[in-house]
Amino acid sequence: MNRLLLLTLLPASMYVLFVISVDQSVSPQQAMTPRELRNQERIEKLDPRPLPTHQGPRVSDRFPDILLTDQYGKEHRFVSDLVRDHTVCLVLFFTECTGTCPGTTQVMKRLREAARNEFPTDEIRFVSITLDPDIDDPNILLHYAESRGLGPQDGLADWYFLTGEFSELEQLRRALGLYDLDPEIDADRSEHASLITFGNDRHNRWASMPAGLGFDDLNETLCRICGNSQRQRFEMALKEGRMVEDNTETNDAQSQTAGDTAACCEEQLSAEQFTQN
Amino acid sequence: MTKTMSLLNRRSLLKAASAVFTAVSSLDANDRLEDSDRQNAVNNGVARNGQPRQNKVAQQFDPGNVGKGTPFTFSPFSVEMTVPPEAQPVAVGDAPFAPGDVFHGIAPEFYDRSVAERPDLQWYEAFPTKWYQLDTHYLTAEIIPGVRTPVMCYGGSIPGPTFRARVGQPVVVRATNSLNIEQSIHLHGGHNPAHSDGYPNFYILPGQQRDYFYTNTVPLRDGKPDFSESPSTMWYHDHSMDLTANLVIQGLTGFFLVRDQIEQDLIDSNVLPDEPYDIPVALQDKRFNADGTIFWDPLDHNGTLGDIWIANGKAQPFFRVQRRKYRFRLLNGCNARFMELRLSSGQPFIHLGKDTWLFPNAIESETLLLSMGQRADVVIDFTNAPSEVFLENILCQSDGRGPDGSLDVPQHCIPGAPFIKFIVEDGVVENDVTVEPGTALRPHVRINPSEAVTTREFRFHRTKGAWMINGQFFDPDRADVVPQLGTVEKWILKNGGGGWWHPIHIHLESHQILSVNGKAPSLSQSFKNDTVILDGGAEVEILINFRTFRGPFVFHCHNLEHEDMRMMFVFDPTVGGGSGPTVIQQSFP
Ligand SMILES: [Cu+2]
Repeated sequence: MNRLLLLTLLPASMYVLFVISVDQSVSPQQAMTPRELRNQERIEKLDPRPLPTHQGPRVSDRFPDILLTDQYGKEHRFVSDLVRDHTVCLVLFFTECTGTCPGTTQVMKRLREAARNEFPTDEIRFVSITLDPDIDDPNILLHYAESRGLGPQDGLADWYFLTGEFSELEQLRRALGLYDLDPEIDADRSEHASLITFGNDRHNRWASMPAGLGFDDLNETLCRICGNSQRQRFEMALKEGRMVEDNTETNDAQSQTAGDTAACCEEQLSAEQFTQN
Repeated sequence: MTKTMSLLNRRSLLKAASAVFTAVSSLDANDRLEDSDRQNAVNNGVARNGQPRQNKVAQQFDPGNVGKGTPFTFSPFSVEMTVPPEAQPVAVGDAPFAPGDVFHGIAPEFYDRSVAERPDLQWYEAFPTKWYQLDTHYLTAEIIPGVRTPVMCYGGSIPGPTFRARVGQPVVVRATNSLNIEQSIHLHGGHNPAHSDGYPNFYILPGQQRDYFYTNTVPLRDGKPDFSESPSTMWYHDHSMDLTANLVIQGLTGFFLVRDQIEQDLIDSNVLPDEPYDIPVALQDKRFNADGTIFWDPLDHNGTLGDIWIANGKAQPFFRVQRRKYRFRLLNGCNARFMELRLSSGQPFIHLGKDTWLFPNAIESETLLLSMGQRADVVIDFTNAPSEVFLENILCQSDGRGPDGSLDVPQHCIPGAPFIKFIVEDGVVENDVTVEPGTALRPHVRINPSEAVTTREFRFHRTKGAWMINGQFFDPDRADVVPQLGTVEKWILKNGGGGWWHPIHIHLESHQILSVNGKAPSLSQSFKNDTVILDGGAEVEILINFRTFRGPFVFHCHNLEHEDMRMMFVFDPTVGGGSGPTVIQQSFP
């Protein structure tokens, strides 16, 4: 499957260039299969203009507006300073977590890089909130971020590493649905570090996804749930359009019977990776 | 006609050319309701009536919103239950519009009606096509008396209009999405092309249209139509990617009822009731916000429970009945609440069918266990009933994990939560029907275990707050298993534990339950099913055919919050069969 190739060829921000280049008949179209052309034609019918803001109560009204401190020692109210009217890509973690946290952080890093082409830098925020405030003070959070290349970078959205008061953080965790009904499981903080929560407060669209889903699906979900226009939300889905007849054109017919795992499935973390602590 | 036909469609055009449930024993005369108990149940709901709770801890903390219920009080049984209107076709026979000339097109099978597994054969078709239009839009409803509630609806009512057709009568529904949110419509229990099956990302995008092609056919067995597979009670509901729980709880459900000649003969010979004595009833629980909107939390991944008991879009309605037999198609349309239904009068149901299909013979059931998505096709005989009869749910459930207690030893909350009060009117009734327990309804064709060419195991489990099947999350582009069309497989469905119940719904085909935890299934589960309950730790063995249509199709947990968190798998039947994981053979987003 050419999903990655297509993504490289056609990031959303390049549609204008793409259309111009077609007009000049420089024609990247020649490289496209009939299937890709067909899908592209449909994508161009989707409205690229920003959608109106949601009216009425919002999911974020139910979040506690607690005070948090970032890796630079700066204070933020969770709802009023970070979430309200913004898009967030949020995860719980702790710096000493060696199980799923590093993988989750890495996939967040890739999402942040991909978001460069999808969201205004000042609209989307990456948020990592510690589950272990006793250890994770701002200095430790700063070291964690910088040593992993997660600091401020031109063209990339801000990434907040946040700590706060334990009981308030627990309140927030539960409001975010990141808890387990079994108290023994709930008491193990490594259980809560594997879901990424996507939210666009302006459109009041939220979803949580397992970090183990892998970059492609997470990025598609982020754009679909948080996208600001119909085109941004659904272009990736429309790119997957295919008919049985297409399979003979693109050799996918063989992959049907041969079980070509590379085509679709390498991105998702293995169960072992996902379940280890 | 707008010029929006995609290349995809042009290409297609060119080609054109329970149950006898175990709980019964625990009910006795003392369980029958007193009036004061009933009022208590009305006011307090199932989970708060003083029954000892199981050892659950949801109340130890307040995960966001638990404990803050619907802030309205109302007099129950003060409004009459409505029967959803029947969908009216815009044409029968010739097409009133160009099929597929819409953004999302029509199934390729519309133009090529050969059976995918046997291209030399056509599927069974006997009646002219019915053509419909269905608009999904916003509506202000009055679910609780006096409270205005914004909802989403199919075609102007909740539940949406009831489709009625004959087996062998194709139906094309031009569905328009007038919401500002993407949708995908699944006809639950149907045997239909993948394009029209409500695959999660086979959307109807906002402002766009899709032509759903429902064949209403039955699969072939030895080259002949197998009428034991004739669908009867189907329902349609939203199935969109990551948003199903939201769109269903906001109102997107409806019924789709189909009759074959065998069922029609039973109706014509006065064995089974006809309309207006054949009534679909969607049972749901919902919770409401102070502004009248329906409560739903996109970050609740356990399963949303409500505290208001709703039948056909009305909170605790009454329904006037005559002293005769009525057929009710009871649907559990909840997101996460299981039900065990009984009549307050103590009389049993004449149980005609489970899920989509009729039983070979009517059976007698004291109570009806229904998971989310399951249906019970029943006849209630009001001939000698008391003047008031309540349909009530007696299963205790405290959170999204599932009912308190186990499948073998369910915990009952008595008195139950009454959904409907039947007011039984006196007077002479003519033309009553003759069905009773034991009445023959239709032949049943069993799948022989020796027909299975493959055995597969699927484990449904929770891992770090997320829902998995065999250690994987749903990926709409990935075919997890690739069965061969025209074959039978044995599937072993295992619950990964933690006390979570998962009702597993498999699209495309009925399945036959071989065993539940090593034991034979209960009588009502032992014929055809489209949804099977995996209670905590359960292991269920089933047999399933793959016929007529290429994939991809899904199977998934019908706790809608679990489903949305990707507790879903793709099976993609192909002509040659194959092995997964691989890329799905066709995709119609
Ligand atoms: Cu489930």
